[in-house]
Amino acid sequence: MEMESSLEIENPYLPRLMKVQKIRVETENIKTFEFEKTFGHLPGQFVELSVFGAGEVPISISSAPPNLELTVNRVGIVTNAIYDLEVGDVVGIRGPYGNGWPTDALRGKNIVIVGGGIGLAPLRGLVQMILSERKNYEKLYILYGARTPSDLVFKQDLENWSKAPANLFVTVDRADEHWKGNVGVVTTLFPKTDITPENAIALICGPGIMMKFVVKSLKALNFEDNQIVVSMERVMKCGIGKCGHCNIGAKYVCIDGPVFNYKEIANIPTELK
Amino acid sequence: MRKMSEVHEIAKIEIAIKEHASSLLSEGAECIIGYDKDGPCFIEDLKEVDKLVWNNHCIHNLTKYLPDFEGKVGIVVKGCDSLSLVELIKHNQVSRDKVFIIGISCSGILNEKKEKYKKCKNCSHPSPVIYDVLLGEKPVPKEEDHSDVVELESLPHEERFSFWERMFSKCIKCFACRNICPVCFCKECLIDRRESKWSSKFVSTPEILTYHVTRAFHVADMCTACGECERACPMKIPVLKLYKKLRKDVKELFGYEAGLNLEETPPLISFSEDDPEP
Amino acid sequence: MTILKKQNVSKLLDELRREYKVFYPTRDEEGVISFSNVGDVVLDYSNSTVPPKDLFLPQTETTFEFEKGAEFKLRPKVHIVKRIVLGIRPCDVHSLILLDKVFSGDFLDPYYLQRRKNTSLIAINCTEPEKNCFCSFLETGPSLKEGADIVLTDLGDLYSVETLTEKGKELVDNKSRFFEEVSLEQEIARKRKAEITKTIDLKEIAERLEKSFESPYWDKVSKKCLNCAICTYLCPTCYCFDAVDESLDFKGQRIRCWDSCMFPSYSRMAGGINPRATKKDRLMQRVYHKFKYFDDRYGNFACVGCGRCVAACPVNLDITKIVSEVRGD
Repeated sequence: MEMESSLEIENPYLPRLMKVQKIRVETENIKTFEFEKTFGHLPGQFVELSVFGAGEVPISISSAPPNLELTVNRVGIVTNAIYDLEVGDVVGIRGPYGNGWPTDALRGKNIVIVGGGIGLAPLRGLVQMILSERKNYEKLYILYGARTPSDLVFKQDLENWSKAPANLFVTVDRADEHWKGNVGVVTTLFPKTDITPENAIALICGPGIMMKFVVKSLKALNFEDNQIVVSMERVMKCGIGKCGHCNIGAKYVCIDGPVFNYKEIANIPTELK
Repeated sequence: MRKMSEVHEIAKIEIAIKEHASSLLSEGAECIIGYDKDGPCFIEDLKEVDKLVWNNHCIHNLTKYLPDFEGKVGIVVKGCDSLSLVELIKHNQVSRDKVFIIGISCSGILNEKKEKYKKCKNCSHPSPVIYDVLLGEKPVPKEEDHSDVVELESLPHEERFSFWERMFSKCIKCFACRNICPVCFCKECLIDRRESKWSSKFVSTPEILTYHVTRAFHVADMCTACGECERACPMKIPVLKLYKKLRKDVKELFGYEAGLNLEETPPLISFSEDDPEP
Repeated sequence: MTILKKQNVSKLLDELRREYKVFYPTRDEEGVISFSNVGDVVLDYSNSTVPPKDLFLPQTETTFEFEKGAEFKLRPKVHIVKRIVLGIRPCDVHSLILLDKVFSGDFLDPYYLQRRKNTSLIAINCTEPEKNCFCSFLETGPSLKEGADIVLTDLGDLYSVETLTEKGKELVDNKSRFFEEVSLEQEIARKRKAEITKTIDLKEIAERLEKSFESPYWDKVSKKCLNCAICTYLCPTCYCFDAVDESLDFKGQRIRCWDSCMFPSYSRMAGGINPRATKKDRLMQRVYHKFKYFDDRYGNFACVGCGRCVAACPVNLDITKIVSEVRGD
């Protein structure tokens, strides 16, 4: 008779316990949490972050490897619980999951990075990586927009990038009395640049509506669909392609993405809002 | 077999519905909510009016869909449905002047096995109480039958509780009872508000009871016992008993019956100093 | 041919219960049929109200417990119990084969897979399909060729017994005193008492669906949907789940539970943005997932033709009609 038997398999739902090492306040609602350098990852990947008792959410990794930094905007139950964490608190981390930015395809190319709000988070690791091996890439444009000057994230990085071998353009939707830069949504930056589609790849991350208009601007500049790369966001409950929530058509944002070549998802209009 | 006169009656009603639908659409109505051979249907085009039917399988309470429409709408209502419509108007979910009510007196609806639905067997309002046009022969209304509630009430406390425990242990929280209920018109149900953590999607006796008992109290003075909740339940839980119990209590405490009077103010949204202390 | 006399079924069950947890169809006072391990077994039934998927993917289960203290503790809750499911229909057996694809792959789900590994299936062929059954179109029934350990066929006052796996053969050999060998004449009695009457047109469904993304057909057909979860919860191949934490003071658990793409909150992100904000979007997602997206990824339609969604929908939405009718125009 068959005895009850156990499959020797790893449990992908069990988080690894990690302690918060450092916290940096970015804005009134956004903080960056630093953890010990444990696993290598690709810029653009994400983790599932648990605050035990509140729940678990997918959060982009906002640093280049080997650093592990997670930038979180407080909007719901779990992200508010994350916002209230203190140094030394124990959280759960599963991952890294997802496919990351197509860094190999970027070598030798002109790179156009466009971020909106907290969408700059998954792009920050990519910029750090590019700047650390600058000679492997051609021109680098960084376009970033937030709602107001106080909503700009990674202010120190923006400062550094303005002095780096990159073309940085920053804008806000609404200025305050000190703001001297561009005012307008991020698409208003394009005319201020000399971006052309020749030998170029654009990488975008931000709110859905922002990405929609940025894609429009890029196509107006004659970028082809396959020259545009986007990082998508959806509700996720598992991060490993089982709970069903994050699909865009037949693709799961957690395992086939979150980074997609625009050509892959352009034909599923109902899902791109 | 239905009598010839009944068959004629049904056919006449169907023709009349189509005529009213056509004239309403020609006058600019946004939609006609009626029945087709597959259940509820929404006719927006004159060319589709022929899809409308009336027969003894038209069980659905169509008033559920009314708050979704902004413009002028025509709707087919039976007696039971008209009570829900009165409540929707009283609670400002539907404007009386934006809805043309095609009222139909009916003698009971049959299920797939050709038996009368349970709720039709004790129908107290076979004819609509509100309408712009009334089709069909007007039968005499009866007193509402509370016997199944009284029977349950007469049992000792432990037996009543174990009855509901057994019933609700079957509940799979599909929310069909809530979603089909015309007077559950909140745009966002408090049970769905994850932020408050009052209830969750997982299934356990406290979770299930929280949902059902909360809903019963929320609709206590609006439920018209149309019975759609019980019909929709895939696990055949007799939820209507719970709502009928609350209806009975509201009648005894406040002398109020939902669905009958457009002028009467519902007791749960009004206050007077001599309100009873239950 | 091996046979099992109907009068021996209860005795066989009692014997099996000594070593396994045995689940079988039971009927309650209101006529609802579900798989249970207590109560009287009912084998002359069309199909269960709730599919046996809940024996492998329970509606609610704790995935792990946690305890905060000097040392943070995490305790996974994976169940390993020897079980037998008796009386599962061919369509539901096929649904498990489909669910296997979801819960394996690059990441193995121990909760589902341990249950699958430790459960033997004794299926029963259908000889009297219901009016909403359309399994033959999805090639999942009414007879079973693979996927269970043993399959029984009703031949009147006895069942013919066919073992499909080594596990099944072993089970029959070990309980041989409940089974008998007879000659082949009994085959003649194996006649279906009714045929499948419901139809579904699956011709070129992938192309038709692709061409219909913007079709006004979806606005029309989704208007009566109530966005309850009946179709998804009663569907044997629906598997979407939610995960929540429940805790008090320093102890708590993470719970996994069924979720439904028909609920508006399913795809609503914190902050309020909802890519499937309308009924039309959600109904499209359900139909496209079942008959295109799942096929694109796993090579099968995510439907076994059991007809439960059609029978139970309170507003008579019929997925077979939608799939047959939808065109690109």
